[in-house]
Amino acid sequence: MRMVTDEDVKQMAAMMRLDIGDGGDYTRKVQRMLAYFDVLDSAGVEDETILVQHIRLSQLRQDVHVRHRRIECRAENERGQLRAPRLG
Amino acid sequence: MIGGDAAGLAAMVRGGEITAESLIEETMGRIEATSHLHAFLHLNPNAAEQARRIDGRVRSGKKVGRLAGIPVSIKDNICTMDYPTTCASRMLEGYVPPYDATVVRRLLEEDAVIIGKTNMDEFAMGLSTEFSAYGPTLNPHDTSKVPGGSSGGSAASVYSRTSAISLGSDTGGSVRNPASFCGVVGLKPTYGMVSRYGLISYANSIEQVGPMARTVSDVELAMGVISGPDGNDHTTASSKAMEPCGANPKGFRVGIVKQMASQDPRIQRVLGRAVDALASAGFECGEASLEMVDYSVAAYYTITSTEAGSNLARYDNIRYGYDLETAGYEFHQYITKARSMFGAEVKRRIIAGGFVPSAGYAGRYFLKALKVKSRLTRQMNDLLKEYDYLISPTVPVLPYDLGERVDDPVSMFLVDANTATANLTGKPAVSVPFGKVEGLPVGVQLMADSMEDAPLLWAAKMLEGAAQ
Repeated sequence: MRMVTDEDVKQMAAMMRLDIGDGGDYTRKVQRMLAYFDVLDSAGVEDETILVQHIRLSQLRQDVHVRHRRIECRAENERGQLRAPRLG
Repeated sequence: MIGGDAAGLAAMVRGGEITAESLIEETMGRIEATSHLHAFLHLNPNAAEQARRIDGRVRSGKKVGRLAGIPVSIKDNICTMDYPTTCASRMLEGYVPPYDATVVRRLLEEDAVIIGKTNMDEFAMGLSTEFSAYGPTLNPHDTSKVPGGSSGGSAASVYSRTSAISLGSDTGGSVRNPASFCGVVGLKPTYGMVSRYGLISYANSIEQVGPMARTVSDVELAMGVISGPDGNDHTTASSKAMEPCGANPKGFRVGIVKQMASQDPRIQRVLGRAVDALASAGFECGEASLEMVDYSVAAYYTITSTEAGSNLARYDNIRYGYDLETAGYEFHQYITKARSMFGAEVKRRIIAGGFVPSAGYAGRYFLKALKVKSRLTRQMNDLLKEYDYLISPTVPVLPYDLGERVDDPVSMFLVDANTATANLTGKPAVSVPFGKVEGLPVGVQLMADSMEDAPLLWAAKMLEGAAQ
């Protein structure tokens, strides 16, 4: 398989909504990371079964919105929203 | 006073021999005196007031907790109500959680005083605390060296006596690595032993909150407080209680993992002395082989990059974030602008985490990493039928110079070579300081089977005793 290119890295960054400028240093380091991950090819695990732990939905906590009293009490609370710091 | 062990200090506070307030005052003085280490990002403005409340309850004869007045620091990726939790990232600058993490709540219920939030690599992605957006922490043994990471602020704080106990998080060694580099004890508990509710997610499937302290007994004390099932984290298990063990070492077997040997003969000599000490105490020691360790770091970074890419997608500035001007920005540009607050290392891991599970790459990287994780777990389970404990250097290298490895991600990754295995397999592992090389501390790592955290700490005490 071919090595990821500068264009691949820029495209992935764009999909991840990340600004990486001209990408040069990112490309070099991501290539180095992926090249290192290639060591997995020699692990000889093709036939290995992936271990998974099954958990019943009933074991999970309820997916409900938790209203935090601290948010509701804050002075800067504006209709349930908080004023965030302004980005410089 | 704050050089003493946490259990002893808490007993003195409960008995009225010292006040919690004096303990916190002394700690604050130490924090000021050691501020050059940059171990803390935020201090708790209410610490002295909390200490006075504990003293008031002692004076009025009311019950106080096991950690009465003990200064505890918390890594900055664990939520604390009323003061900031930033993950050492500009992305979360000024974020004040509306709730306490379960581990923090449990500490407070035992009357610990949270003294402040410690420095770390941004979003726990690093091994040296150099990737903090607020500047690195320095190693208290030699300020030209890294303190390890990602919980480097916690380890430096414990060693420099600005907290008796600190909570870190360990995804691939982030508690044990800085514990080793700073000469303190650090535990990565069994996966599921400690609640992750309120720990800001990096790689959920393998990360755990873990305590650091100057003694194994204090780590045990902290585990007795923070461990146990939590309805807010379904991965917590009904675990065995953290009861102290009193067994005789005779008959217990220790495997020396040959794949975890250091290339540095000085570190191997330290390990040799640790093995000799255990053998003298009655443990049976022999060489053990864990072949998949050679692939553990690649599997670990593949899995964590994938989970990081997913977990950090939530920082889109829509549900929460900065108050950005929207005029002049197309929707995606707006998100990109907000995400410019991530540091370079975080961006790299998100990008790598985009490639490894995606079509065309998943079979080559992510699925193979999961298979390595499975094979490693099977091998580890088999080995732990033969041995009660596995031993190795915690980190195969000595603390290195600040800036030495930041430009080469792979040389940084390899620092994790001996610690990632416990995370991938879910096993508990502890780092115990065992001597020094050229004035720099060296930690020895012990691993045990899942839910055997208490027997692991019992063996760690043997090692600690021999080191002294």
